[in-house]
Amino acid sequence: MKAVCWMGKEKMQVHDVPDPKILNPRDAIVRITSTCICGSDLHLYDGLVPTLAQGDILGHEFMGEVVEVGPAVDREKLKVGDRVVVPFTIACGHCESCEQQLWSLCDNSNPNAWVAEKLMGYSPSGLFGYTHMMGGYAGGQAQYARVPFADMGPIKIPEGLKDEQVVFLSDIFPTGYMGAENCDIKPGDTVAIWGCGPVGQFAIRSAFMLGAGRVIAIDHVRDRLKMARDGGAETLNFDEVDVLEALRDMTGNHGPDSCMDAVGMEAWGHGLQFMYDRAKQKLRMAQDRVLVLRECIQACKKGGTVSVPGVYAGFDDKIPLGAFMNKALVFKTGQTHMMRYMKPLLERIQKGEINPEFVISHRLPISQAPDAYKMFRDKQDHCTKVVLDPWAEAAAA
Amino acid sequence: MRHSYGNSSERSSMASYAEMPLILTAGMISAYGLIRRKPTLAASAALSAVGLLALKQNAENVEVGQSKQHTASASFAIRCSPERAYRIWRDFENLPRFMPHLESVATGTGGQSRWTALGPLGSRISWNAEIVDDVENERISWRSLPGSQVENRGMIEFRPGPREGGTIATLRMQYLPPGGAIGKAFATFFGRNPEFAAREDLRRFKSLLEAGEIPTTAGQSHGPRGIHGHLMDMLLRETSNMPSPEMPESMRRTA
Repeated sequence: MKAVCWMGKEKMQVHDVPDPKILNPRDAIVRITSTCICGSDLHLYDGLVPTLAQGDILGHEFMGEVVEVGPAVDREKLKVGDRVVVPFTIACGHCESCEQQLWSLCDNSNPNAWVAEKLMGYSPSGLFGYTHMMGGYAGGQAQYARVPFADMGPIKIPEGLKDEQVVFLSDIFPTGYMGAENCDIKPGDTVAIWGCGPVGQFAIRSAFMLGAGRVIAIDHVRDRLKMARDGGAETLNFDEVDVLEALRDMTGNHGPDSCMDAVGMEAWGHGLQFMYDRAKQKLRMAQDRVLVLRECIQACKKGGTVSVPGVYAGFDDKIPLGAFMNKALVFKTGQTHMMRYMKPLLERIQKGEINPEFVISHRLPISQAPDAYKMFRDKQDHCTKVVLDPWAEAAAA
Repeated sequence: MRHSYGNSSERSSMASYAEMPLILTAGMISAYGLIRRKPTLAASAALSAVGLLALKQNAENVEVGQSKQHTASASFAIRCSPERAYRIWRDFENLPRFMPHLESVATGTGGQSRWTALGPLGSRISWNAEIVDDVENERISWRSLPGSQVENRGMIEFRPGPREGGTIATLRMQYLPPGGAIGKAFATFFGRNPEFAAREDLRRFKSLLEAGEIPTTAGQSHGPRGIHGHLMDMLLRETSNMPSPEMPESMRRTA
């Protein structure tokens, strides 16, 4: 099959690799019909997250048709022929974390848990197409994928919905939604969201679903700011204004009730802090550029909540813990507990409350994935979200 | 009660600075072998280095008269009753399901059993063991019979906790590795360091009981690995510490 492989920093290649096999009794094999490039894939593309290996197949936002199931898969839950969206977190469904609905913290899905334990104390769940510290599972930017614990994660998609409408249930829609839920929104609250990429876009819309009175979105890419305004947000362009001052003015010296970092480790900005972060990251002295997280903590109202769906990888300094402590902030984060959100959000799509297609800017054949990574990273050609078709060339041939 | 395991002195498995030149040279020859696709060269360079290190350590052991005994322990909270955990463990024939270095355990009468482990380079080492202590649903301890190639003893204990319906399983192992220090050096090089093995064995036991299977990526698809990919494989021990990808065997087994 064809698969998008990470061959080194900024070096993606499409290779012919063996088709995946069932390796465990609860596995399934999915023939992928749509697969996407995620913002978090760009951190891998840029070589910033440790324990990725040359030859790894990336991709964790995919859907398709079940073509094979292992002997222990509950046929009531999943059978050959089902059309499914696969969540990016892998969860066994039976450990204490899963039992508490903390699906992205599953105890039993990371075969390399010991590596994660060295860095984090305890290991979160395995993820598709990410680093070996997070399991090293082959990803879904390919024609087929092996899905472990297949009777637990994948959600069946009813007839009448296009791939483009539902494929984002695999990550970014639930991730934006959980980011908003983590803001503890009370009716009428003001929520400030840094980052108007795909996750930020879904977070804006989710914040309104959860009762926010006002959403202020921050970015500097004009198309994305416009998309945020289309979603009902007021916007700030950090190239043009001082974000902290603008937020203070807009909220009557009160501060947003909650602040969301939907940017993560590769934040952009201006001034000394940004240069400092960037130099440290380039010198491999820090994995993350924590610019946005700093601003979130500074900007948030006293007793407010900081929600972090943006991905961070390492050990960082210059985080204003003094402000965090003295302002009595609440900090909420984590990889998305996917299985909590997939069903209710699918229902919202079915009811027409949201059509996630709005975020797509490019539909491309899988052969163009390497260029698509670069385009998405550099925000060229108005790129907001790329959906790849693994079979485009096969069909044309 | 206290366990009867003495404080055996465990030597550090890390090579000292004096050994670095040897390791670096062997590493370079191995890397050359990997690049030129000469796996035999790579393996032999690595193995000679391990062998020399082992001889050196052996000599040191004799010199200072240190005990070569190794102990290891690990503890995991498992979401199942102590009864169920005990039942699975008490049937020693189940052990190879989560201890991949064991090929088989055959149980006989009177608490006796025959264990076969996979050694270096596909070799096999067998020994007989007996049960020393067996308290239903609480603990089991066993030891190899006198004269065994691998002298070892082990104990598993199941206590209720940390909450209703759960079990805290604690495993303690004590053994003299095959071939003394050479075996230990070999084992360390390939990631079968006793402490690590005990921990990962118990982690797999937990996964088997909770999820019904042990997570693995061994045998999955990937693109061309190159030097970087192969080095990561070794570093992460993904090939040596995974359950066997041999599907037919493992699929018939469900907890």
